[in-house]
Amino acid sequence: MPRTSYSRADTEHNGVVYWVLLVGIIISITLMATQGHEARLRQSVQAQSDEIVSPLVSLVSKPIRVVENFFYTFSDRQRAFEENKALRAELQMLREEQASFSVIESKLQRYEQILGAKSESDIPLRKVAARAVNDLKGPFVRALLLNSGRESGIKVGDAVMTPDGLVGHIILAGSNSSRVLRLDDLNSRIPVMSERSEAVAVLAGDNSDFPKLLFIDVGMDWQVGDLIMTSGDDGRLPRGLVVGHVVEASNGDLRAELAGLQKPIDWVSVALFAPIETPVAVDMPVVEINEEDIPAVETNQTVDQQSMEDAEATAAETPLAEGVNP
Amino acid sequence: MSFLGSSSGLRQGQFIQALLAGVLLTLLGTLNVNILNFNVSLSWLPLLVIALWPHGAPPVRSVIAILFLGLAQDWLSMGVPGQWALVYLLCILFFRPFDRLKPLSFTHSLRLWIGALFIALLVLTFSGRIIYNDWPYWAALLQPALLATLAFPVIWILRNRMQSWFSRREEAL
Repeated sequence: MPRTSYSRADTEHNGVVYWVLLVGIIISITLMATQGHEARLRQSVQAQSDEIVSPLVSLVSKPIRVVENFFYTFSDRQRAFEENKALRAELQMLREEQASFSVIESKLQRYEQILGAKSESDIPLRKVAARAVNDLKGPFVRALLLNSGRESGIKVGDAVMTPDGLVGHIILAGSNSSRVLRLDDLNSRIPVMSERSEAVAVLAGDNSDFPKLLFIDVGMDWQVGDLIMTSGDDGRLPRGLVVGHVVEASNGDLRAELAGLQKPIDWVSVALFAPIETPVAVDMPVVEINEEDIPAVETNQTVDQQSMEDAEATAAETPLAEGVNP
Repeated sequence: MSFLGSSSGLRQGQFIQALLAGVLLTLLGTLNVNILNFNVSLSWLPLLVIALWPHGAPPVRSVIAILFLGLAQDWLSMGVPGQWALVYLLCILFFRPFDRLKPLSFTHSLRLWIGALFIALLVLTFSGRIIYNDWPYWAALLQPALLATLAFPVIWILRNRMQSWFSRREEAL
């Protein structure tokens, strides 16, 4: 930048400005140091700003959603014929499967009744529809802003889905807006399993489009193409939500192609799931013992002595069994 | 009217224009557009306003406004508070818009923008590395920077048009 475009004299007059700048820089660095990425997930300031911004962004994003949907519809129409054929075949197969599923379901219900088994970790029936007004894909953060919050029954931890699969879970719930941590965010970790082999792993987001499958044991049977579902092992997300398919990275690592994030996200459903409650330690009841209630030890000893003497006398009178030496 | 001898009304006007542009582009920057499965992020547009901050805007008020614009950008983008604020303030520290003697030419503005890009990339990458213990997703970092660079001529023309319109209005008054 040419120095001739700047005044050195003015710099001296603007001493106050540079002090204010310095203070601003110190404030920024302090905020960065104290409000780390974990702290930001539970910030009330964030929830408040979302409350204000959500209606604004919703308004501004409307024409953008129209453009997105136009492009999506356009590309979708190009493959409509092939898709139609495939869907007819799939429909026929699904009808047959549905018939067998209803038989299995009634059987399962009967077994659950017999065993008294609880199935809290199943996919919840109650869902709330919400609009994703903002889909953020930054270098470090991948999140959604929804236009529904606590007033609709949404709470932190609830699973967020599209018809294709899981998108993420709620990390901040305001009264009329909420933030969703997407599955591909750096901070996202969820327990998953293979639908085919029931092998378990942890799906870890790394800000790429294909999150990693971590903690796969040597004996675990994971294969490319496996359908990945939530395992519900953490007690926070329901079991059986579709996540995506296993793909292999160029270095041989197993990664997930996320089913719910393949299309532009507009409307989502939030599954209102009651997670398994953390067990609370119960204090043992303290029993107060009065001295009067304690039986006298001497009396007991007397009784015991008496009964021992009686037993010895009886033993002396009783003849020994043959062949047994005393 | 000379460049340095701006009236207080004009200076105030320049400050309000820049601030409004900053707020508008910050809001616009929160939007992500998904076209044909390609995510278009406008999150770097507010940096254009900071790089081309007007000479006449009252300095102390400008610095405070820029700090808040940065914090707003951080909150809206779910980032760590202070990251964008630091980028903006460092840009002001290095570019010193208040000490500028000449109006911004296109080439000078372009140099300022490239400088701002450099500062932003360095600060976001290394502060992110320290905070998140991971390198950024480069595509998500560079793509909005590229988009903002493409938008640079448009913003520059709009800025000049607005400034000349306000100058003429001030002179007429």
